[in-house]
Amino acid sequence: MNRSPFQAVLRRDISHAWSYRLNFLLSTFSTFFAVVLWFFFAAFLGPRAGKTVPGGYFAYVVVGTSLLGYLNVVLHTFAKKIREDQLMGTLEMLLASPSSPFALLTASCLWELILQTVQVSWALALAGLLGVRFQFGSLPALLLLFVLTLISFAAMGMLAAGILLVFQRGEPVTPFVGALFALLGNVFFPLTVLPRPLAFLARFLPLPYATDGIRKLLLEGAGAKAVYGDLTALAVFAVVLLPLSAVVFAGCLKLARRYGLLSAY
Amino acid sequence: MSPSIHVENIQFIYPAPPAYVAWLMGQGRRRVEALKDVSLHVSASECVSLMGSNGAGKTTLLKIILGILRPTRGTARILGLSPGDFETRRKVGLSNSDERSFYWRLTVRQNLAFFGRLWGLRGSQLEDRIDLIARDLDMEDLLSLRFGKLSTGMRQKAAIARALIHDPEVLLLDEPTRSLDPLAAATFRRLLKSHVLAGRATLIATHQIEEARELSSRCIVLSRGSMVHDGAIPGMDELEALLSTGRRP
Repeated sequence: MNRSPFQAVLRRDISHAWSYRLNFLLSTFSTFFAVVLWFFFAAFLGPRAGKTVPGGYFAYVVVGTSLLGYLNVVLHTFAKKIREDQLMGTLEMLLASPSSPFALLTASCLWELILQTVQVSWALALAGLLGVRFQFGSLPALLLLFVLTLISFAAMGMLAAGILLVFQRGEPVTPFVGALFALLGNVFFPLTVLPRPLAFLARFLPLPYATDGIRKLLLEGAGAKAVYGDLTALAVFAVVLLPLSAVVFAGCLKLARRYGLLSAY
Repeated sequence: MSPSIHVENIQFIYPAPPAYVAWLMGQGRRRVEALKDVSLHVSASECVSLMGSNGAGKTTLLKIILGILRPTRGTARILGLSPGDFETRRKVGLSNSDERSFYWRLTVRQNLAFFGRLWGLRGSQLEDRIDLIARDLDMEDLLSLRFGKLSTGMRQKAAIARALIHDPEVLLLDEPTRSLDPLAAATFRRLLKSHVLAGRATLIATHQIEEARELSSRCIVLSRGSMVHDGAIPGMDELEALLSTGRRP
């Protein structure tokens, strides 16, 4: 087995992105406008809104939307890449290669994650220039929280990709899930403003724990102990969702091979 | 010695999905039996032609041998191993008939490099293979062109180059000369003969009886999913009868 198709897929995606240079450059800097927008929006809300959330509303929403961006990348990219390969007729060739489908799927997300990280770095740097004071309470805890968050998100992306393999038509689940996360993800406002049933529902999603934990570490300067609960919750999501999504994806792939759906679109 | 390609009693049915799944997928519920009890073998240093009308099951059979499709019944083995085995896949080259199966924004060299890397080639070894194959297929001037800019015949050359990039022991070719000009087709046939002489096992789907005669000593004919001939290349009259009625005249 070719255990590392990562290099091949990453080089392909970079070459592909670079072939659309204007789009490549614009997408790299697109977060600039979003951060400026949130800065003025926070100013419009005034200091009262900022008192109820850690670090003030501007810092609160910049961290929240950064994480939501990662969720959207991971959630959409798996299904998007499969869809593109279905349309281009390359999916069968990829699955005929000596590379694991899971490795190919994971690798297909790598470039988008790098791009998102560049965008988030820009956003945080700009937010810093606009007055947000970031504090790194515990770097290991921050990294662990981030990795567990990505794993939880990736598991959901893999579920969406499996469904796409069978039902062919693009991303039936991801827009719904994306909107749900924006509403219940502790991204734009604290969960305390939601009605109780919705706030209760949010407990079963990984994003609120990720946003909560990362804000504590980045904006309040809290230590690892303060995010123990968030880490535990995300670890549970990762441990449960990842094997589940792997099984569902493998099952969908088997079904697609059996029904001859790999070249269908 | 065991054959390089061994197919035994393969049946493939495109099953009718359950009614609610068919409705969700926007598809009909027709069950199609694409292959019926097909058995064949191809040894090393042998090239076998696979002939049949459109929709006879040639491409489906090649996809099963490659492991892209799972047969309903029966087994396919390549070099004694399952087609899904990663070590097997490393040793198989496929030239498919789908002209879309490349990345159109990338150059031919970038495409070949991508697939070469997936098949385990790296660095100068990969670049050398790309240059060698391009020289053999007389397509060096295509390497720097974007795939989307190529003509149909040029795309076909790129598909053949991809099948050969990792120097496979087994070649599965689905109408490889369909869109090639006579000169390019002759170049390809010369190259293929040298590969067969070097010990490669080849199964080539073709509609051209002259090509089958030139490349192979044996021919398998499929008619409506059933194997109706496995032997010497038939004459034109016999082939027409086999294709239309599934029987000899």
